[in-house]
Amino acid sequence: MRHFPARTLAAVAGSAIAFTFVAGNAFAGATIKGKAIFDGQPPERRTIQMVADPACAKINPNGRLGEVMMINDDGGIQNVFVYIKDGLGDATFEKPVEPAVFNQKGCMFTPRVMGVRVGQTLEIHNADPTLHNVHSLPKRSRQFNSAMPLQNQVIKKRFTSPEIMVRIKCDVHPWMGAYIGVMSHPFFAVSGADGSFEINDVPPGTYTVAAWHERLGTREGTVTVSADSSADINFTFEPVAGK
Amino acid sequence: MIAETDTSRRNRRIIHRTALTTAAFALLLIAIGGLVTSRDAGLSVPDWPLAYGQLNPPHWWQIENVRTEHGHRIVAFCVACLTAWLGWIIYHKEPRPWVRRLGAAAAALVLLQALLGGLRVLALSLDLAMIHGWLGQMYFATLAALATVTSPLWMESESAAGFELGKRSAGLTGLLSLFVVFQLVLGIIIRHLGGDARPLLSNPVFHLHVALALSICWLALETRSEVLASTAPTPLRSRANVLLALLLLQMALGLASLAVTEYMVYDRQATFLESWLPTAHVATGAAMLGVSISLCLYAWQGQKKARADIGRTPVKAS
Ligand SMILES: [Cu+2]
Repeated sequence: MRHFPARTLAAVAGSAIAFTFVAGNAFAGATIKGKAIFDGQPPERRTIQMVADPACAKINPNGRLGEVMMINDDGGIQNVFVYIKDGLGDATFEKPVEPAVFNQKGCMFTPRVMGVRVGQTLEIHNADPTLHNVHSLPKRSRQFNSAMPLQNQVIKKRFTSPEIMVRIKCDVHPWMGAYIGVMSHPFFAVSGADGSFEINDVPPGTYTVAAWHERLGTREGTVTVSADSSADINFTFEPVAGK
Repeated sequence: MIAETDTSRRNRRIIHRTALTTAAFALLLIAIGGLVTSRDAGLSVPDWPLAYGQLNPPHWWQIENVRTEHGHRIVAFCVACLTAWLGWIIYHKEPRPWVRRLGAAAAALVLLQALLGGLRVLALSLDLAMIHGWLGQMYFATLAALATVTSPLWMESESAAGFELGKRSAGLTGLLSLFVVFQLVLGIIIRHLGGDARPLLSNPVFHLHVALALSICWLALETRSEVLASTAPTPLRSRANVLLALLLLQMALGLASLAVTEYMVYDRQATFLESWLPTAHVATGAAMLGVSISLCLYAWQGQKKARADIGRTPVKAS
């Protein structure tokens, strides 16, 4: 956990706390970890210009690097959503009491990719001195589009059905986009700046693990973990034409 | 035909000028509505009829997408008031029952259109957005018809023997108006699907759009030669020319829009050309609908007159 990015930590911690494995047996959790790797020449990150809103341009006078393709020199891909897709059976998991936090800061959504649990409170903050609208486009939950005109305003939302992934947009600032994975269990993570991820406290078993990236698509793999151990799984993404 | 008094002539002039003004502002409103779609700004103000809980949201003039959507609402409010005024003076000053009905239809349409726009925002519905875009065009067509049938030229044709626009012109302009209406449906679908409709070059809806454009081209050319070969008065002959000019402009704008938006990136502010070329394409489409409807009304009136004349002509035994 030494160099683990704070963003990933927040996503995992927020949801991994306070769940119980309903099957009843206390278990020693295992860890699934690995890396999302880009197999190719990392593309240039596009610069977003924010002149369409003077308040945003004031915060980012030279624009700001886009967060769609964040690939480091070693090919590690940030913002890949990794989750257990299959293998948990009918187990149900208590939903966390803590809210998940989603912010609008510097006229960007942060984080760009995150996970929440079904029914978990999603706290949406506006740290900016301008107005935003938070517009969710789920296919399985009810869409919402909420006005957030005030700095430091906080609103609360919930998603009612699991979904990979729910797109969030701001129609005031078309460059603002984010994706939220709505999960029925706590076993998910978002890759950090070096492409690494870690899913903790996983019950022993064999799982299908999926890794999703907004442009590069989805990869799947199988992994088996026993109690108190850790297993590695890496996901390789090839460049997508025109992206 | 009762001779027109000075009062009725003055009333008619007021009605016609109001109808023309309303139609011009409605065209502007359609253009701003098109801009809302081009910039994907329709949901940038999440509430309705208030905007961010206020009459005018903070800094709305400075933020491009909010300015676009809120500006659309402000202009829409003004146009709705203008239409209500038009409806009112038509109700009080227009003697022809069918024109009064048309005036009531315009007022009803603008009200329905406003509610639909609000509902589209509140229900986050893309389907309603498309219907809103299309109904706006139908509302404009109604205003174009009102401006036509209240004009001095129309009164002249009504009181005289009617204008002869050529035998085929009624059919041609009727088909033309119908095709333009359907073409608008296709355009609206393509625009509202945005990135999901692209690449357009391999989208069947776009292929149909092009095929219909070519058919409209043929109809406009035929209409023009039919009208120019007839004894139609100069304003109608130039209207047939305007139709063709608009069509050429429309095809150029369509091609330019295709070139600019085919591979556009969506997660950024739309550029000047990405915003304005498709918007001009929408507005020119509306203008074409207006001119087609106007010509169609004259052509049908001419045909009705011609039929009535044939009915009156005694059949001679040869
Ligand atoms: Cu925003």
